Amino acid sequence: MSKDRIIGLVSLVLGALTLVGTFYIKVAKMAVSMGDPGPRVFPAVAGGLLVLCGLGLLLKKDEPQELFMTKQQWMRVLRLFLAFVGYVLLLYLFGFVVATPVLLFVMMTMFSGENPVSIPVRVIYAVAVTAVVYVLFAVMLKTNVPKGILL
Amino acid sequence: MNYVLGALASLASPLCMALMFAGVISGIIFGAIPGLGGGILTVLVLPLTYKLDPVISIAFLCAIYIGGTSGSYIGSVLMGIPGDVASVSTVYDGYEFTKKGDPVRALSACTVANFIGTVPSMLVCMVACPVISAIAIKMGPWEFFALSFCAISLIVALSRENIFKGLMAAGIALLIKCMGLAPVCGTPRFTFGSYYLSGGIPLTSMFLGVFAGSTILLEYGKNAKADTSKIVKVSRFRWPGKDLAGNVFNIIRSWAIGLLIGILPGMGSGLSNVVAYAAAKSSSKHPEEFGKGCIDGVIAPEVANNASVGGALIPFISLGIPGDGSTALLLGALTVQGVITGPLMIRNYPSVVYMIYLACMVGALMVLIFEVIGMPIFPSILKIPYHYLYPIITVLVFLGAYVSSGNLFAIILTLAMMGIGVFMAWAGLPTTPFILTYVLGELLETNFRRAMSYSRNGFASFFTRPASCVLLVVAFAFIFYNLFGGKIKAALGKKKG
Repeated sequence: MSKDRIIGLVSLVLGALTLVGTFYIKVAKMAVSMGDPGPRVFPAVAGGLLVLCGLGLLLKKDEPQELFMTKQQWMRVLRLFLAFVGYVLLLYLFGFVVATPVLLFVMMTMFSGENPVSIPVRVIYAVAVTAVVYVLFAVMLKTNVPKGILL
Repeated sequence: MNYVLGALASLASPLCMALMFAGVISGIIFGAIPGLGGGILTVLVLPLTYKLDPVISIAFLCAIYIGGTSGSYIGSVLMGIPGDVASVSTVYDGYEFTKKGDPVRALSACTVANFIGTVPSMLVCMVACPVISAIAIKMGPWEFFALSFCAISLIVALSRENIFKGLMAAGIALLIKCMGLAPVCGTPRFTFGSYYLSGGIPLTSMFLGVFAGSTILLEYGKNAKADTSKIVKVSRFRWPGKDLAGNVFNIIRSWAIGLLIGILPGMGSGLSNVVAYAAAKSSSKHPEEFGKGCIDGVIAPEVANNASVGGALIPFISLGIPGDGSTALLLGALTVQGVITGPLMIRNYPSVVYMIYLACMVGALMVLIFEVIGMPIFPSILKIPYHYLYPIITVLVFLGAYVSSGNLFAIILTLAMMGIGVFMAWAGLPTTPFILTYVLGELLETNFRRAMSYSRNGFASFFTRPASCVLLVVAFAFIFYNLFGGKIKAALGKKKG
């Protein structure tokens, strides 16, 4: 199946699910004034639009397309995404001050690739950036940063 | 006059000047680096502005906007890769100067061309906005719905490669916007019983995930950092007097193109630089020199893309309709600050509006000064190692999402939005219809439902009011032409043949 067909199928399914979901929106009669088409119209428009686009892409003539990314490149994306998921978990458990240097260290290692930066530099970078961001947000701007449930 | 003086006083405060200076420099850096762009920086600093005064915040964001639009030529000239879509056409001739060993001539021309483009367009913006806004105040929900619909249709129709993908991007944005409590009646939609989703997908989580977060994921995945080893050294700025004198008509034409394209909703510097370059080439006495290092082909796009700044701000300030993707982000930022955009913005928030005018002009002056003095360090900007830059951006993405909502759920939503951003990039869905529909979604729905409530004729009332009717006809015509125009032309051609 060509890429555009897959995108068309995704759009069709998403649109159909949205249209079905629209019927489950509970509308209180008192909330909608006379003449007002109600809160279901726009989700239905979004769903209809996606179904229309899905059909358009499925019925369109196939065109040759460039490869977006190789399998190895997709694996790299997945690895970084998993690192992000891990960061969110660490934020939840230990908070910003512990999780952020870990993410910075890991990401610097990942991004520097074949010419890795020395470990002391990575550690200094991770700690220094965390400190600067913490001071900027938590101390100067007085905003909350994630605290962590275990600390 | 009081508001101008008030805005000037705020602008002159040390905090505002320092933030603007930081905004200009960081905007130029992000604008110059291929793959990033000023838009991402606007999204990143948005949570930083929560605790700031709205007037100072907007000055900071305008400085980033101006710096980002200008900085994009640095990558175009020195590497042949535009930092942003605003300088796509600058590559054709700008990079040729670098190949010939004289990048300073192109860089100097770009620096001055940017200033020439921005400041007069802002003066036009200052004059035009109150006039348009005075007319717009008389508009009802019918006209506002039609205007927003027309803006989205125009930008979708511009997705010429595949209009279905443009519509799909708009459909996804509308669906995301529909989540949470509905406007007008407050009915919960697609909240799945979650308390956190009742407020919908926060603007910051959406922008940070779809644009900044997905960019980081894709840049790491592709591992295709531009080859910076061939970047040549750049000497000091050289006044391009002769080049400018030989291009007076080219500058005026490009400026007018930039301004007009900027005014059209949904279009901006990304299109104006291409059109201005094509116009400069087609009307040149020596078109054969274009693409081989012709200074006319460098000046035209760089005047046009910056003239679009003032142009794009006209519908933004006077109507609340963003002129392009970057102004859509600015609109989002103002919404976060509690500023209600639309025709009443000039009357209700004059200090914010005057600050936009002044900050853009002062920002353009700061950009000029920085680029004139800092030209020799341009190659260093492009050589900033990604492994230092991207981890910081990532931390700001997650922290920004947290700060905006105060809960970890916003971070999880940001992760989900990153997935959507990666999908959009893979599927080739254009981002501008997505941003515009997301930003205008609520305006569209609120005005549609109000108009239907107020009128006796139901949907027909949109066509019985002249302005609304014209706008809707234009919108449908654009979509229809882009869907079927090619087939009609082919059928007519066959008949003739």
